[in-house]
Amino acid sequence: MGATASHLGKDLLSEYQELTFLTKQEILLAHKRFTELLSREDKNLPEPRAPTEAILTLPELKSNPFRERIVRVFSTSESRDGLTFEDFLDLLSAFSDSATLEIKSHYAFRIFDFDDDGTLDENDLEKLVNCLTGETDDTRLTPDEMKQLISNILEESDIDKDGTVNLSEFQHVISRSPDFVSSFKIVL
Amino acid sequence: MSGGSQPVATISRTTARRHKSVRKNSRRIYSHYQDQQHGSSDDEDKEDGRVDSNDPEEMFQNIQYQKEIIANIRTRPWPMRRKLKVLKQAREIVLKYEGRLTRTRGYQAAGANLLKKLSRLLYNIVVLFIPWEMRIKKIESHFGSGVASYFIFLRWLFGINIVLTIMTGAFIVLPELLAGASFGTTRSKTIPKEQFSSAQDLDTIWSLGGYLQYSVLFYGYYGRVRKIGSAGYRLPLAYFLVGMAVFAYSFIILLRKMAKNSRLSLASASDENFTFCWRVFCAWDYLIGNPEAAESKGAAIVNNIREAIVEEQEKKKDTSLAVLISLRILANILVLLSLAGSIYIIYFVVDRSQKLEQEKPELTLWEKNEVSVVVSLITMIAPSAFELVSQLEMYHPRTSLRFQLARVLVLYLGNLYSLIIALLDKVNIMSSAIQVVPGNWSDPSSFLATISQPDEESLSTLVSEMYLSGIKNDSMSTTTTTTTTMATIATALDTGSVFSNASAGKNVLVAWTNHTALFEKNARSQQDPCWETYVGQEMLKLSIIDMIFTVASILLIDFIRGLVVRYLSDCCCWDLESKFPEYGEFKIAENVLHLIYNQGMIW
Repeated sequence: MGATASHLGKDLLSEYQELTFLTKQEILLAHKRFTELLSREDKNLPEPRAPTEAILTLPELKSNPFRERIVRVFSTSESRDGLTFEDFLDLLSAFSDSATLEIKSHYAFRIFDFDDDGTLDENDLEKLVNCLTGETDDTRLTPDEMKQLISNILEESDIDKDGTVNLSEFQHVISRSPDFVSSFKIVL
Repeated sequence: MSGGSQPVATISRTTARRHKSVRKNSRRIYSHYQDQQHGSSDDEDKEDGRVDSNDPEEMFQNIQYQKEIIANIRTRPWPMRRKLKVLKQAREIVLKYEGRLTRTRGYQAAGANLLKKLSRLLYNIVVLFIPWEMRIKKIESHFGSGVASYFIFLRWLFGINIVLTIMTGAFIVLPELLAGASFGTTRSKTIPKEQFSSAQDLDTIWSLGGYLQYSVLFYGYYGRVRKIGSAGYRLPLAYFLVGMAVFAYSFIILLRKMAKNSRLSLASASDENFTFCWRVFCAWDYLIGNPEAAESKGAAIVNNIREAIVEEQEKKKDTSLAVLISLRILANILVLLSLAGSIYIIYFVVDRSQKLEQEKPELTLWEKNEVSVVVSLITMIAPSAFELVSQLEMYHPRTSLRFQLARVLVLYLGNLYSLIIALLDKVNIMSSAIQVVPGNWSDPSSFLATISQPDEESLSTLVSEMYLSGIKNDSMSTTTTTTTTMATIATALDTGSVFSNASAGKNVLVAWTNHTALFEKNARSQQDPCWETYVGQEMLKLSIIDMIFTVASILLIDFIRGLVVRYLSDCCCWDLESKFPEYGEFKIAENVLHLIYNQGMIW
């Protein structure tokens, strides 16, 4: 059922339109950009999978601190490495302008959950903040600040006081934020 | 689908239930996301198990349910593979059982399908036509969505102004052009003869005189006739109604946009304050595609977090209250003083321009544009001054931003109002000056007769009489008569050595020439006693100069500053990029306020 690398079938196109929040032009543009990422041998496979390194060279993802997590979350392969075109469309749909708050918050939760265990615990939060603050030493937070920050976050959002933030608590916090929806966007 | 575990009978799904099912779903997916096959096979059983009933009503409802699934499938956080499978199944079921239903229901469904297809097609097309969409997306990727929101606001304002232009143009300008009295016929439409020779000078065009003044741009052009043209189009009525319609339209559009936005930001009204969570979870702007912007955003986030931490700690600290309060009072006094000062300056400048107009026949470029230049200068300089002052106050940055915006808003409003009031005052004075001169100067010859026997007293009374006497409507004849009378009086004076105090007479003559000059001015202005034109000219000049100033300030202050900082930072001893001059920052809030100020001028 995959698309041949060079041409997207018309009924498949309309199905993709049905299943994602993207317009027809956006899907065609995504297809073009995706096939540019594939290597020559891969292009002839029935369901080509672009490797992670190639995807990370996309200018829209290159500067994003969560780029590796994003690729991992949307990947459907066994080793969570590389995206098929349909995964790529899922990614763009979740990050598109018209996606609902729920889809976005669901995927945001999965992106922030570094150990994939279904909750955000202290290690996840620490890794998250370190991703945000950058690599160099003078931008990172000191351990004291980190501890203070994490305890404040948990104090604000952990309703059942189990020491972790689960999906519904996360969605509750996110739904109250006025600028989450507009900042959680990627457009090709 | 775990949502399908509810019985078919309760088909009336409310959105709450749908959301609940999505959430249940997502949690289930999440913890089992390795076992996707398990999940989907589960669904298949449930799907088939449900459509066994032969009851047509139930079947129809079931089909509606499947269609709802199809419509909402994109809101499920599933991978594409799964969505495709579910879609296929749902469509199969619909196709299989739809044939059994009556024809009308089938048509209904087909109609809905067609409508959906059409709306999708329309949406695809409409997206192409939104102007500047690509550019704004590029800006978004370089600088983040905050800056892009400024441009989106600008685009929206532009749309409103275009609609206003079309409304005004269609209902007022076009009829006047097509059916109204043409150029040169009525008095308000002709350029007076003495202005004719200079009508095409750059100077005149700059101050919107000449051809521009006597055109459809300004109110003075439009005739007073009740109906114009062969169809009897009531122009004055149209003018009034279009004015009302313009305001009503703007008001309605504003309300609509406000309502839409308030729905989105309903969250900020609640008391819940998740500052730390938001600063970590919602901080990153995923649209940034530029490494420099990403770095600066990262630094901003770190600062943000550190600020929040420090604030948390400082809540316990005790600042010396007295010093703080006295500093704040001082700052407020300064701000109030500067606001009052700016209002006074504007009034004074308009007043002065009026006096200048009365005294000198020819004004320099500066004096003509003084009002607009002064207003634009104030609007540019004052916000920076306010920012400096607010550093005294040591508020939390968000509070100080709010104060700053409030002060700048009061400044803009004050400027606009005082400008309008000063202009109206000026107009009042001008029109009352014209009315000071009643009476008739019908026959210059009778005056000449009386001049022939002057003596000092009668000359002064003569002069005062002439001062108070009326001006003829035709300024041309006035000037000729005045020049002739002046000539005759001069000859009379010269030959009249009867006068003992010839010098006194000459003084009187000089005073009189001054008054005549005043008369000539008034005469000229009575040609167009239309104050609306005058106010319109001032406003337009203000807009143009404001635009020039903004462009110039962007070029000079930001662009050159950027160049200097980038290229000279190597030769300078301290790092120009992070200390004093730095790159100019795009102050979103203040620029948005400036946009609103411009729109206020337009309205």
